[in-house]
Amino acid sequence: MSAREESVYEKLRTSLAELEEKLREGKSGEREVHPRILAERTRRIAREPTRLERAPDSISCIVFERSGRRYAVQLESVDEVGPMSRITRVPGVPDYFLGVAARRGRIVAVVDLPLLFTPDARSETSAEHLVMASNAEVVCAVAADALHNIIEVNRRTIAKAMPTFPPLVQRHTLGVLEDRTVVLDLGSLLSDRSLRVEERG
Amino acid sequence: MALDDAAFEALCETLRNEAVEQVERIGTALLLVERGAEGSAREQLIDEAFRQAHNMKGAASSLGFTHTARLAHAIESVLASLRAMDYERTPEVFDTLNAGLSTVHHALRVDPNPDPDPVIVEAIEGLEAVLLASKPSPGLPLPAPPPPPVVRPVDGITVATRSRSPQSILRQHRIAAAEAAAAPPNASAGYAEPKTKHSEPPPNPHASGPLVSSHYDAVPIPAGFGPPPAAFSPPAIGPYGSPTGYVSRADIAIPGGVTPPPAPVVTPGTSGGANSPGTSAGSPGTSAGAAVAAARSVAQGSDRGPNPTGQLPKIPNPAAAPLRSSTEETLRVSMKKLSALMAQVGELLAARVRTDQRLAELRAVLSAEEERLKAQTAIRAMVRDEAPAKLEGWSERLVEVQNEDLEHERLLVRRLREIVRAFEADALQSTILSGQLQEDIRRIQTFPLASVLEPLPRAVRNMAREAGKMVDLVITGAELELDKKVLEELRDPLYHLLRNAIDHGCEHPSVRAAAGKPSRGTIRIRAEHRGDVVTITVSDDGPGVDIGGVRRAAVASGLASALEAGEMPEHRVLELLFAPGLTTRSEVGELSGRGVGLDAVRTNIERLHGTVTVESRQGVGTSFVIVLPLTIYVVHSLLLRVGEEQFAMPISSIQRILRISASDVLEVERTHAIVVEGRPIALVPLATLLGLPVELPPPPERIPVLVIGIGETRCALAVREIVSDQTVLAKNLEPPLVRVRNIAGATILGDGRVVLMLNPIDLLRSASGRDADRFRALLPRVENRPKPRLLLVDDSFTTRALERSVLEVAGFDVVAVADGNEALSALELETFDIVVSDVSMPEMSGLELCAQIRQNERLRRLPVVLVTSLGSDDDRRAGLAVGADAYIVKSEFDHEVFVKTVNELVGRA
Repeated sequence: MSAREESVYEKLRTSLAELEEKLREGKSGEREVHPRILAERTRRIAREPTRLERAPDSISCIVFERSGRRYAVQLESVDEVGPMSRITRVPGVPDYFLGVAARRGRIVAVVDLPLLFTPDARSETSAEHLVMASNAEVVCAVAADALHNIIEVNRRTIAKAMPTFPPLVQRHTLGVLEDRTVVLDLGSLLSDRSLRVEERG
Repeated sequence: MALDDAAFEALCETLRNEAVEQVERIGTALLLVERGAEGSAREQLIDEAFRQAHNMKGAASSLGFTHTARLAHAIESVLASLRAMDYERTPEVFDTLNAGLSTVHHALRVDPNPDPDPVIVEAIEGLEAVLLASKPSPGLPLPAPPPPPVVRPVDGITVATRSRSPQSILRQHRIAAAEAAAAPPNASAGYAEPKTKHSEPPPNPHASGPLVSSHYDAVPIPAGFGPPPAAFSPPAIGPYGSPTGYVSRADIAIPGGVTPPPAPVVTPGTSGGANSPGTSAGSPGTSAGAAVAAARSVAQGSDRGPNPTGQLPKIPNPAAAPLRSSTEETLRVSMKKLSALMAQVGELLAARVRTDQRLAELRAVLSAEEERLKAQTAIRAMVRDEAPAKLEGWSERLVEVQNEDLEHERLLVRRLREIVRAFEADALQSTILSGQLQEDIRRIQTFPLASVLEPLPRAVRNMAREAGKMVDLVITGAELELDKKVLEELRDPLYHLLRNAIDHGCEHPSVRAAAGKPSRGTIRIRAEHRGDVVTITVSDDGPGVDIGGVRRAAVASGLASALEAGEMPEHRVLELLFAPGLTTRSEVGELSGRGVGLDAVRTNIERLHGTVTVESRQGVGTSFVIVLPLTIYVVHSLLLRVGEEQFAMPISSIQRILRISASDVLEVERTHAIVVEGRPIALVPLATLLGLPVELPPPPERIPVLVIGIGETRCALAVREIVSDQTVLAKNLEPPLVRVRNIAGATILGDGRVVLMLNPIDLLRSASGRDADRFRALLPRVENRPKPRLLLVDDSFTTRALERSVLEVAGFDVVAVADGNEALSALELETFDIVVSDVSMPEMSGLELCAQIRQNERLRRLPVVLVTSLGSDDDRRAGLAVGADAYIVKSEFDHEVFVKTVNELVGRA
């Protein structure tokens, strides 16, 4: 754990202890907040968020989980994130297409990433969220069980995809984080011709 | 309205829209000039205005819009002289010009109409007055004579001269103005009409040249908008003669230029006359001076005319007549906005469907309440009749309560019934209204097919010349209107098909001559409207598809094994043309190229929820038939349940809907079939084709079956349930699901569910593929199977002998008898797989025989083929009515068809 994270946790612990103390005394944590603190807090919230000095190679990613695997995808390639809508199965397409769902009047394919990457993977649960992504030619929804935070990833420091990864993952993976999150280039993944279903009758 | 009228009207509408835009542009330019633009900016603005007026005139004359053309001509003339006018006078000139521009709206409404119109006359006179009063600067050199129009017929196509730049025209006008100033008799002429202008393609694409090239023989085109045989002067020379100062050379040729002659006007029907050299080709040799002098004297003497001192001319009041009606005015709207509107209508339709669901729920509540009311009434009757006698006093109270309840229930039911009825009426009305709204919006987005077909004759000519072939393109149905998006998507497939037709469907002239065909090949594009679909057929009169070549190519490209390719029926071989990667150039020289674009053609057409099929006859030609829904948005579909899923099947592809019981199912060669209209049709559970678990209704329930088919290929699909029929909004699946077998797209139901729409052609292919699998699986055993036994019934010895020999060669064990009675005896004693019988026979006719076979419990499934010389429709009907499976007419007797039919009926496809 980095020193910065440790200090954050330290502060959290202190705040929690204070709150616990107050609750024990039968007081609500919030009511006694001094107006000055409130004003300060308001100012802080209203303040233009200070832009982190992002390294030139830094990218913002949203992290989500599916079948116990963690993926991070670039925010730029994500159109929207929403609750799972009703999925209609499509006969005759590979299993990693869970089906299609209506999204803003369009019929988009819903992809299960673990199934796509390792066909023998089993998805135990039904997904809760859809991560919508698109590029010039493709629009797709990725099924997610849980959504996590948004992180900054530095391309230069990220560990490259492992050679043991399936070829499709290798092609479209920017790297792997220390918490085993796979950082995907969703835009390029969607454009992968092997993902296309273009069957002749 | 006749179709050609409709096409003409569409062109007129385009012209009107364009003219309104042109008026706007001229107005804007004039405004800027009036506000004080100077120097080159002023010149550019006037040039621009002049160019717009000139274009408007050209387009208007080409469609016989005489009033508009004449007005445009007057405006053009004033614009041409505007540059030379002194600044003090110009405000009045702008007034007059603006009034003239406003009158264009009126003229567009009046046209094409030959009757003189006072409002327009007045506006023109106003403009002419400005010209009369203008004082162009003298001293410019005489103009060179205008170049003659170049009309160069190449392969029957009229090649128009290139349009001259507006600047050059303007320059000429200025020169003409100067010339007019220099020459006393023509002193006031500000403008000489360039005579070549009508050989220029008009700006309006719908009125442009190619549409009327010889390739469009079959396109009904009003005579008024073809390119003239030679240069002709505009209708501006027309009726109101020319009490005017802007008389052009062409004008001078008008007979009776002094007094307004009875309108020699260009209209669609009479333009031939107007175009004829006698009336309008303006011979410069006419005594111009005299005519102009006369015109001037009339102009000056006219009480409506302007006075020579430059007094303000009469200006039509823009608030009055010209702009009175604005109903025909148009507005340019971006396709994006329209599509958004259409999408909203789609949502509205979805809401309508939800309303139906609510209505159904309400009906259910009503019927439940009605049931309850019945029960209540019964209980009440029971209590009333029996209770008082048996029960104590409290029963009276019970009866009272019952009565109250009952009354309450009755009220509730009555109220519910009223609501349901009102709801139904509202739902009906909203269906009608939303339907109309949808149709109106659809129509906004439709354009004539001509807009796509227009460049094709020229393209065909070029492609044919490149290939060293002689080809005519004949187009029918160009006036048919289709959705703009459909038209856009149709362009490429049509080009592909045409290129294919030229490459493979048209032999070289020498080859054609050798085959006894005319040296020029003919490619036909025929568009027809059938129900809620449009069919577009691209056919050629070439050699037909080389079936053997396709088989070889299929084997070479790995699409089929040699055995499969050899066994494949012809229609399946033709289907292979659409397979990707069919062509291997090294394998089949002559066939190379065939199929390359066809794969793309099919993809494009299917994205429009359409289908494309091919038919071919050796030596006669090949036809590609594209079937498209009239609109790509809304498809009338049947909702089906297959297992747990629902699917939508376009109703246009369904030939019949049946409910069958298990006993109706025949087993033929381990496949299943049902007999529809006397013919067995393969029966396949839809779930099987989709790779889903098969689930059909449990036995006592009848199985819903849809017969789908394209041409001769038909298939019966068994489903779990037919849920409802609905008009749905068709949507394409988005990539990466570019094309999914058996799926044409999807729709979103009222409750938000996505339902997949089925692709009937794919399903037919899948079904036939399955048959092929089974057939292949059976192949090794085919040789060892006993020959099918055939009972041949015919009283003619010769016919018997002939048919027997044909059938024995085809591998049948034939027993021949001479009449119906003998046949029945034979059928009692022996077992046969099929009966082939004559109709007219002594003792017992073939019809009677067939009827008896159908009545016999043991024999009733036995296939019966009637072969007869009675070929009328009534005879056929009579044959089918008694239950014959096939009816073959001797005059059309074709061994192959005969054997094929018999083979099919015994399950030896």
